[in-house]
Amino acid sequence: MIGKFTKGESPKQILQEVQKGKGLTRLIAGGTEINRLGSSVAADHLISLQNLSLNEIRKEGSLISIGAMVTFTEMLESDTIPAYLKEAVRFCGSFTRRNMATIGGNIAADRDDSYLMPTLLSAKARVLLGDISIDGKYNEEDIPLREYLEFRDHFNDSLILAVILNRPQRVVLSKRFARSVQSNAAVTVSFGASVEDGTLSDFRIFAAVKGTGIVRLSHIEEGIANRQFVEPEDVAPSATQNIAFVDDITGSSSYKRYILGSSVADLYKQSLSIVENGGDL
Amino acid sequence: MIIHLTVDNKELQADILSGETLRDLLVSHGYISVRDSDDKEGFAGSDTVILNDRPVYANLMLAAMADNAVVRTPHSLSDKGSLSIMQQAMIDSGVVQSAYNAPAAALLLTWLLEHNSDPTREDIKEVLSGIFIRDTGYEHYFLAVKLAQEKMETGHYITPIAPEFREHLDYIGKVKPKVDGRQLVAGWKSFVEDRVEPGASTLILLRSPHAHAYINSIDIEQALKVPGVITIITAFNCPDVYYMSAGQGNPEPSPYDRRLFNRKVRHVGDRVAAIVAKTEEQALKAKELITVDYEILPAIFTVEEAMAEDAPIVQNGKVEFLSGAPDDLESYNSDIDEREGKVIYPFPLHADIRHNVAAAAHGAIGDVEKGFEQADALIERTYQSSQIQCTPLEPHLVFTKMDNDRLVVHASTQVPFHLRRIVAKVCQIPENKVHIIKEKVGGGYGSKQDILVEDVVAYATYITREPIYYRNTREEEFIANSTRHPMRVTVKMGAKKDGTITGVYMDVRANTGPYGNHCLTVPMNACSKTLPLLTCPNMKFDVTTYYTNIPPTGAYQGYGAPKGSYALMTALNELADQLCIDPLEMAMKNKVDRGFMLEILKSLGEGREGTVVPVGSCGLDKALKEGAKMINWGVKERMDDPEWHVGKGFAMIQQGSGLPGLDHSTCDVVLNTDGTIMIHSGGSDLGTGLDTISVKCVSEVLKIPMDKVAIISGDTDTTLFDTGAYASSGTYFSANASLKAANDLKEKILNEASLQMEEPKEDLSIEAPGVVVSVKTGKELTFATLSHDALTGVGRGQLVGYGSFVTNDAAIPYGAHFAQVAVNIRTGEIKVQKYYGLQDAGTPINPELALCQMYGASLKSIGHSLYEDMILDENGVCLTPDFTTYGVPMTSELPDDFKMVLIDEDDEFGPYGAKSISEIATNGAAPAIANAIHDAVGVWMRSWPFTPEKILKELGKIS
Ligand SMILES: Cc1cc2nc3c(=O)[nH]c(=O)nc-3n(C[C@H](O)[C@H](O)[C@H](O)COP(=O)(O)OP(=O)(O)OC[C@H]3O[C@@H](n4cnc5c(N)ncnc54)[C@H](O)[C@@H]3O)c2cc1C
Ligand code: FES
Repeated sequence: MIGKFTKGESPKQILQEVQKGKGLTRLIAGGTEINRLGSSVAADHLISLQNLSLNEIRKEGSLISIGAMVTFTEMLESDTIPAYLKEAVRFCGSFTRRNMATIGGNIAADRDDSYLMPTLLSAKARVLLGDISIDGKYNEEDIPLREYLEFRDHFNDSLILAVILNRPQRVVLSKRFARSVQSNAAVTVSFGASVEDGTLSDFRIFAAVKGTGIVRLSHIEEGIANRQFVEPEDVAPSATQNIAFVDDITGSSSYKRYILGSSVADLYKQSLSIVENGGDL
Repeated sequence: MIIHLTVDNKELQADILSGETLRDLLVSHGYISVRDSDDKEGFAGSDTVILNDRPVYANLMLAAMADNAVVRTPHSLSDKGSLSIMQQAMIDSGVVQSAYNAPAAALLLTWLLEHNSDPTREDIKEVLSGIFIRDTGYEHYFLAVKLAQEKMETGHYITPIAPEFREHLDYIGKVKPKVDGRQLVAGWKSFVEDRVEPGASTLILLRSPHAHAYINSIDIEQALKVPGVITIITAFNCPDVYYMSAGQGNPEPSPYDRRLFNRKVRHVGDRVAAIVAKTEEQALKAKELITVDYEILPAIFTVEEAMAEDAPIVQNGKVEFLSGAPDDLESYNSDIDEREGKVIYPFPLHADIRHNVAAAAHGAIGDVEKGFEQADALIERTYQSSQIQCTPLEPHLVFTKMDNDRLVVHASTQVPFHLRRIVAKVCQIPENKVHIIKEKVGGGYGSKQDILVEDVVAYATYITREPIYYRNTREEEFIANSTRHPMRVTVKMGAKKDGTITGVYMDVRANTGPYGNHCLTVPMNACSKTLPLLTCPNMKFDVTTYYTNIPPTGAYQGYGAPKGSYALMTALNELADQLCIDPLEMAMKNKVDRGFMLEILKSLGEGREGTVVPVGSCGLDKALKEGAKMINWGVKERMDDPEWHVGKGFAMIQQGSGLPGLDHSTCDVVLNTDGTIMIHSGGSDLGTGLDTISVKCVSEVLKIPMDKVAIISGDTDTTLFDTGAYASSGTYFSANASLKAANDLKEKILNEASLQMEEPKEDLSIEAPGVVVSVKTGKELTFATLSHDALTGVGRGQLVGYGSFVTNDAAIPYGAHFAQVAVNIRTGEIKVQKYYGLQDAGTPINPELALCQMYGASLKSIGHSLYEDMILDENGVCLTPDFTTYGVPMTSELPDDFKMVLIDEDDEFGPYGAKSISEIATNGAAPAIANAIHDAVGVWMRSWPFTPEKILKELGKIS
């Protein structure tokens, strides 16, 4: 039950309130996760971020900064947002929901069928966080999204201010597997790599697997980097070795295992062909 | 907290609660068209508003976040009764049918055209992607936008809306605005929820967490003490009346196997107690305080489990018969636990409840074994369909009150008269003490043929005299409603080398779940609406329906036909494949045509002997030929990407038009004092345009414009009896009654005119716009003068036409559906590239509405074939109790090329030659798509839904 609603005035004030609220004071952005039936978020005091001016998309030198309150629709409308991220934004099949859902909310929601997380992680996105340190001071720090994910609980009371992408672009290809566009995804997978001198390097492969969570396929990243795999297809069998899949309404564990392995191989193959063809990133 | 916002150009200052949603705020200020159909799931979009020029879900937005915002609701689109161009275009294109989401769609499309004056199909799909439309399958929304654009640019429509039929008629077969379209698209008061009076009490249901258990006791003492609680009804204080929920002709071919509350719960979600309180909060609090002592029993969920030796028995009470009791009944009834209650059969249905058999039927023509012996190839295959939910946007809901010692029930129902009978029975009062008012139905699709909420709420009002409002949650819609029966259909089929079918056997095993409503009629349709497509002289069927502990099943558009059609048509394709012949050729060879005597119908009556009739009007041949041409049958398509393989499939389909020999419709048509007309039809328009059909029939006969004809339908106080809207009966039965009443009134008008004009009746005729003209003298008498003079105190009284329609003649609609799919052999993904439905509806009285129903039914069944699925866990708990997890098709699931075609056939028995249109359209998708998948990648899909995972399994990619 939401007993209190306030509009946040500054990051510092918001974070202080969140600290005081001991887990029951939460931030609200688009509200599509918080207010939906069966929401994963419990709160009695909501602080809105709408007055914080976090809705800008900026080019900053070689970086792109996306304010946490930027909605999915605003990303689609922007010329600055790379195509690979727009593709992931479209994984949210409802236009109306895209008008409300924010990038910050999506990251913080950290769902096992997350629309954006695999893509952002493969793109090596960073997040700019606002925090109050033990001495009560307000700090801002940008950290890899990977780290945010790894220590997710530690950042429960942090404020995501922006998402930062590196502009020398990466090949990032993503794919979502769900029965219908708006049903829950069994697997959302993303493959990212940097392109230098016509070759791929610095691989990142992430997947959101329903029932399992967000997983990194680091052994495949390493294997590709070490040329352990001759052909992209060779990736598939070992791609899912260390992942515990579960049967659920989106599919059986063997389906998820197969589709993830096969897709990683396929996305790798597509990345190679993009580079070979000197394709537009 | 106080907020300020602008809503539809008006300043609004409101004192809100922190957790209040924007929708709550808007509705409390009278913006009722901002609806909710999914309990804040954020999926269906009934709550769409424009906030600061962006469409948003008002239910997912806190009102507090709309402080200082500019909000637009669907109410802004109409101005004092005049509609916007977009709203009118929606009516004209035929998309305003059950229309629960029509106001929201109108708002979105208006917004779209304001921002993009020339949107593409993709733009429109995109903007409607957040809105669930179940009734009309989206396709004519593209047309609506085009029409609106044209009207805005040129002042009139350019694109033809739909083909028109019967040149010699003025209204029938012509595109005319649906008579209730304005109120529905504008979002004016229409539905049950709009009729709830302030101060109404609330009722909520405590439901069983167990799939199968006895209730030893229920402690309601603490709950009754909660302030505001009015009463609590349980198995221990409810009337000892057995009935069943199906609204069917009386005596019903279903067992009375339930009371309002039973001592045994038979599915997760079964009723345990009803709590009536002043507010929902109080009722919920009381619900928490009820304690129930359950004795848990082992549960069964599948036909196979129900059939097993020593299976737990779902309905194990005392069996009684109202007629035809067998001699051994006493021994059958020995040793019964009284907590089981009773199962009362109005007449025998070959049941054996001690083995979980709720009903069975068997029949044959010719000698099927001999037929199989004559065959060069023989196959036997089993096809499994899954449990599917109707998902009407408006859930089951009801508002009941007492008025002058009578029970008044505002209902969203397909069967007002059956509803009255059942409510009267449960309350143990005569029918004249019950008044059912059928409001606009925001989606029924069969599920509102079952009396699922009205029984308990009406009874609660009757004993408390409180006005009570009840509304199912979306989860309750899934777990305690009627759904499609899962069925296992085995088809054995033999044919000669040239494709001539020599024998067909269908073994239908249906899962009725905990109760036996429709337990015979729905499964029977698997045979009765499929086998008569074939000329094969040797056919046999066995139908057996089993009780289990799944959530309840019941009627769903098409009844059992989609499942039977899936099995029979896929089997035909499998056999053709084995014989290496073109399945279309094989269908052409074995299909019926006009004049063929349908002997098989004799054994396909619903619990009684059926009437053998010849095939009448039949567009099957045309549908197959035209469809084959449209889809380029026989030509293999390829895609650039080698992972994607393309295939084509088809199915021939049929349905019925009502139940000849069982259905009955009546109607009266009254001439008002100013010469206008009032129709009182017992028929129940579910949004499909039945009222419009009745008005058109009257306008056509009396040559009077449609706006001079008004209609009330489905109101048990003011209209005459009708069996209701199910089994595709509306157009054939209810409209034939309206037509008969109109003709009767015409005769009476001519008789009266003859007396008033002092001319022989033979010299008089009725001409437009509602005048009697003498062909001899040229004298004219308007309906207004005629009616006025008939009622002046010296006249002969008001003129009323009466029509009663019953028949043994069948008006069978036929058709063929074709699909082209692309299947990815690596991922198992399926895309429906083309979907064509060609149907003979006789004379399509409302062609634009007919097409939209075909689109709606086709997309629904594409959904059933590919995405939708109610999944239960091992305890019978539904894991898919919302739209997202259940998986309904949205704009993104539309076929790339989606076309519905009306095949022109005039029928001799339908009103102006009309037959039914929409149920039949649910029968094609599953077999057409299954066959197309086989054509693409060589695997047969023998169970619903055809998921990528199943394709991969069939392809051997996963185990
Ligand atoms: C029907 C439906 C289906 C959905 N399906 C999916 C799906 O498949 N995949 C998916 O990813 N999402 C899904 N969602 C959830 C949701 O729409 C998205 O995740 C969305 O991006 C959340 O953003 P929001 O702004 O609406 O978040 P909110 O609801 O406002 O917030 C979500 C969470 O993020 C926190 N938060 C918000 N902003 C910040 C910030 N700047 N810093 C720190 N914490 C913050 C909130 O406190 C809350 O815990 C679905 C929602 C609905 C209604
Ligand atoms: S939240 Fe949109 S219809 Fe319920």
